[in-house]
Amino acid sequence: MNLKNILNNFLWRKEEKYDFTLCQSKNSNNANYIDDQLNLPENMFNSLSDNINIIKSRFNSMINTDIIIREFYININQRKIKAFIIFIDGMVDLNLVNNYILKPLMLNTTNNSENKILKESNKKNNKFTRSKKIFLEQSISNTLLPQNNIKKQRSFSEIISSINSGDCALFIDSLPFAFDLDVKGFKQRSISTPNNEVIIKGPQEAFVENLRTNTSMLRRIINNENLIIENVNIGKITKTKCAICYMRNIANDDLIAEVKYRINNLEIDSLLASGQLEQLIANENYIGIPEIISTERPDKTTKYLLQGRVIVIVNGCPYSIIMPGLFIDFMSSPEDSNIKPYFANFLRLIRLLSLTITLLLPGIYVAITNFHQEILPTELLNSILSARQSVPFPVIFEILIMEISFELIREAGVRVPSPVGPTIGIVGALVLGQAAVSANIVSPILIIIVALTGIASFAIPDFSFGFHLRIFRFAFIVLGYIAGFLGIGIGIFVYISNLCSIKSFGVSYLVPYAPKEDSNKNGYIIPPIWKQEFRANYLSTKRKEAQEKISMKWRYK
Amino acid sequence: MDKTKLGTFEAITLILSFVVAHTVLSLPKALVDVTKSSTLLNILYITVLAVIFVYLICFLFKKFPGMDILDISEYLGGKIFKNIVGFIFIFYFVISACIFLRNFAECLEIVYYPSTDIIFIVLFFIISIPITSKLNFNASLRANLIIVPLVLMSIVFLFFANIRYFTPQRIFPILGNGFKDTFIVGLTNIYSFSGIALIYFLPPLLKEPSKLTKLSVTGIIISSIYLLFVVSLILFMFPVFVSLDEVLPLYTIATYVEFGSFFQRLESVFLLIWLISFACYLSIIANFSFKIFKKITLIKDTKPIIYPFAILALGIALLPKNYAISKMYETKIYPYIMIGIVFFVSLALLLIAYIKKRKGEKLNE
Amino acid sequence: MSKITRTIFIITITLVFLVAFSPSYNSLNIDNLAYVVGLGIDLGENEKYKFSFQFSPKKSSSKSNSSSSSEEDSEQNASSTINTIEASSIDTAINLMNSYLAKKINLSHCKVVVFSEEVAYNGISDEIYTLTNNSEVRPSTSVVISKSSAEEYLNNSSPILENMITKYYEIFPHSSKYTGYIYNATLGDFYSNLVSIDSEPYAILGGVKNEENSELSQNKENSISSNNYLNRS
Repeated sequence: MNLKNILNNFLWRKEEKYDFTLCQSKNSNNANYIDDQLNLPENMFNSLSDNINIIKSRFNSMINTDIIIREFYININQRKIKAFIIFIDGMVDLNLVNNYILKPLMLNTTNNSENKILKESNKKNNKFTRSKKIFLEQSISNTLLPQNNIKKQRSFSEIISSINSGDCALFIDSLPFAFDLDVKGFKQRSISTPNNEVIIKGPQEAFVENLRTNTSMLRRIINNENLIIENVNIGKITKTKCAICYMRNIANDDLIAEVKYRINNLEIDSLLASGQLEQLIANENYIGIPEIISTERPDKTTKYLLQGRVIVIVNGCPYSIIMPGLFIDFMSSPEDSNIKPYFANFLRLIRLLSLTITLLLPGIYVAITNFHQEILPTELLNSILSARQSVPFPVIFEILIMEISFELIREAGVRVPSPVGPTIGIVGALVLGQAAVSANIVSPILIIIVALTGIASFAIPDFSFGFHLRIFRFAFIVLGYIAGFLGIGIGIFVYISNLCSIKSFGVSYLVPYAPKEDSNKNGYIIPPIWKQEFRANYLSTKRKEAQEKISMKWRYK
Repeated sequence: MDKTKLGTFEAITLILSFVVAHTVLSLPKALVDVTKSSTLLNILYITVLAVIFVYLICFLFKKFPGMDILDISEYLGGKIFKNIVGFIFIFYFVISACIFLRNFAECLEIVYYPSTDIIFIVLFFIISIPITSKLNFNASLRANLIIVPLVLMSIVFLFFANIRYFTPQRIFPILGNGFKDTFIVGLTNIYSFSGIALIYFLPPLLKEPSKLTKLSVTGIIISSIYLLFVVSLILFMFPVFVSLDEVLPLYTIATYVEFGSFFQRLESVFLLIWLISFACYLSIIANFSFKIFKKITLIKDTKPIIYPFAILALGIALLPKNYAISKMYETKIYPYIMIGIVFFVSLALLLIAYIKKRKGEKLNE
Repeated sequence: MSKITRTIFIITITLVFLVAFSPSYNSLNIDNLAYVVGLGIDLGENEKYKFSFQFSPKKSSSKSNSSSSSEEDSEQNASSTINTIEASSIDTAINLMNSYLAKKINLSHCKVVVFSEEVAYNGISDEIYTLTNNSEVRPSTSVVISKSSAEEYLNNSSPILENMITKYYEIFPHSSKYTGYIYNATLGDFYSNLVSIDSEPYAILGGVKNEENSELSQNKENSISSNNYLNRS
């Protein structure tokens, strides 16, 4: 035996093959098997056993271990009525379920007074069964359920989505509806400081993942009953809750209608984050510039709400999206209204400069060294020449190498685990750049240019806008290499034309610069706060004045 | 589809864009060649004449609210007349734009790209036309609105930066070659106001048509101030009686700008700005040609004719064999075509239509 | 058109333009150009003129150790390359020089043009016309007439206080603001005075001090409005 085994192992080894492939399903309608709408009856049945069978089969309660179905008897009117509750473990607050649902229903001892009234009216009313049902429903909902949020659901699909979002459903025998009780108690992140949009002087709160917390933050700041928050469910499978928020007496009706129209006409399976929603409802333009602002700060959101824009918040994502988004919004930070107008205008100039540098500086450098060296002062030219003596690559190649490695460092820096994070910054930027210069692969002036471009791209307040600029920088480098200032000139012209033709939700993108509308002095420079009397008129708001003519009445009294 | 409406600023910069594109080439030198040292006086004289002319046109246009010159020619002589007038204007726009393009490309080649074929430099400009024509009409208008003020600022900057090289005595003798040369022969200098050709097409496009007079007069006055700046630059810096600096005279002037030892030889930056404005001018011409074509032939959409138009423009721009021929066209032939079409033919059309309408109204009473 | 067609079209156009503009790139690239700092014109023996081209001194890259850089600088201070060639006009000289040097000559940083006195006696307006027509030459180039030969002038202009010779050439005419011995005579002024009917051109008069056994000589500059010998053209 052993010899045989040994020989077998020597000569012939059994092949260990673990091969798993997904084969193409011939039946394309496989999804019907678990399709939502198909096998579900419309309304609930009167008998409890039918209801419970349907619920059990829908939720696969044999297999799903966190669906809890608790059957019990209700004590009412000295009768025992069968009932059951169903909830998802981990999403409800078990204390609330125990103390405020099960306890009053199963152990009711306080309803004797109610029984007397029932007995009296029973004598008057001959329709016994009907009044019994009405009284049953009324007495349960009015006296036995000390809950602050009760809904009566008649259709299965609605109650199932409520259970999915963390409510508890109460089914009672002989009643063709279910009670939908809000006892949500899942764990979530608490309100913290914003990670990605830091300002120095201003509130330091940020949105969280839960929709209700976010809308509560908006309500707290605006403090007005005209703030409308409408709920929409998007996505066939996930039915993600989204909130559309606007000020009813400020925002333009057409804008609100357009936003609602676009959101309600989406046929997608799932919606996970607000970035997806942004892409789904925005017009696509040729150059990939963002048309919708997304922010995680509630103070910025409320500032735009009060200007007359429409906000959408998606459950599960701490970013709110703001429509319409215009060029000057991407160039402004939430701090601009908190500091004096001189500083705000100065910062705006700096941001405009950083925009130019991010987009054009490497391209202009390539164009100058390739075609127009007479611009440079002679001493600078000499230092460039002497630095390039031993560099083997042409300028275009150097620039492309350094730009691409800068992008690599940037991308790697996002994913680096935090103990190593600062080290990567030092290693990547300083040592690598310095080593490259000492090894005569690149010239030192190029390092300065690439570093300056990178720093300028961080000065852009909006993330997606900065992304767009980073990509177009490469187009300008190629153009500058091909034809010098001719290429860059044509590139700038095509870019500006594209910017001018974009319309974000009906508003031209470069307003108030390009169509030169009189936006009531809100245009080129930020006026002092007592001069900002009118809301911007490109948004066509209903309420034109934001302040009276003399807002600081204490000065002139 | 034509929902684009022009505001006042946009219309003014439209009128200016023609002048700006032309002065970058050899317009100022050509003006100075004709009237020598009395060019400034001449410009003031033709400004007055142009303003009177524009008043006349706007007064005639008031009788026909919301109609541009094509509609008026249809009112006069029916469809055939409209087609003829439309084709005349398309011919004028396209040929002048292409010849200017060829000139500009030749000058660029002399300065920057000595070993490249002219076809590639022209192709660079031509390629930008379909790209921007696929966007809507608003795009080129607004881009123009952004860029024309930059060009104006650059000229003013050039003027003040070169002031130490000026010899204002070059303005003497004031009447130049004589009274006849300044005022009668120099009348042809009115071709520098080529923006007037656009005023004929403005009325249906404006947001507030009642402002037509005001904005066209403003446009003419601003372009004349601009011309004054440019011509005085050339007049004061270079001696008049020597024919020099025929190639891009403004570029040569920009070479003189010097602030300390750092800001030297900035002419490439100026050329960048002028290049962008030239590309704007080309795209505006293309858009207006499409509009006229659409009105004549009643096609629904202008998208299919963009590429043939670009190829046609490329072909026309490459027609002259060398720089001398295209330069001769620009300085000798173009002025007369422009004066004929913009001043005589259109004015005659308007007058005849006005008389016809007055007669019609009198008959109705 | 579909996205793929458009992408292919863009790539094709980019490649076509790359190929089309590359000859100009080759001739104007910063690596392929030799920048002339000073131009000198003397009377030649075989040909009409003898041209001297002064190039800016090569600075080797010295980032690692700064101690040695000061020595190198002071060495290079004394020596800047000068090449002379005989030809009948500036363009011919540049042509010959291009075939002799590896890089292409570029006059866009030329700061001074020196004529020797004998050349100036014969008239220099032809050369001034050539220089003005050249789009690379700056109008702020100084025009100097030198009592010695131009080559010696260029050779011996070694500034005491500046590191680079170009800075010296740029700055020294500006001392006209506070002395009377010199005037800021530029090529642009020279040319416009030459062709206009109401003024005469002027240039700087320079020379080299003859000191035996001295390596470093100094320049003495006077300014004379030269009326008689410059008008012969």
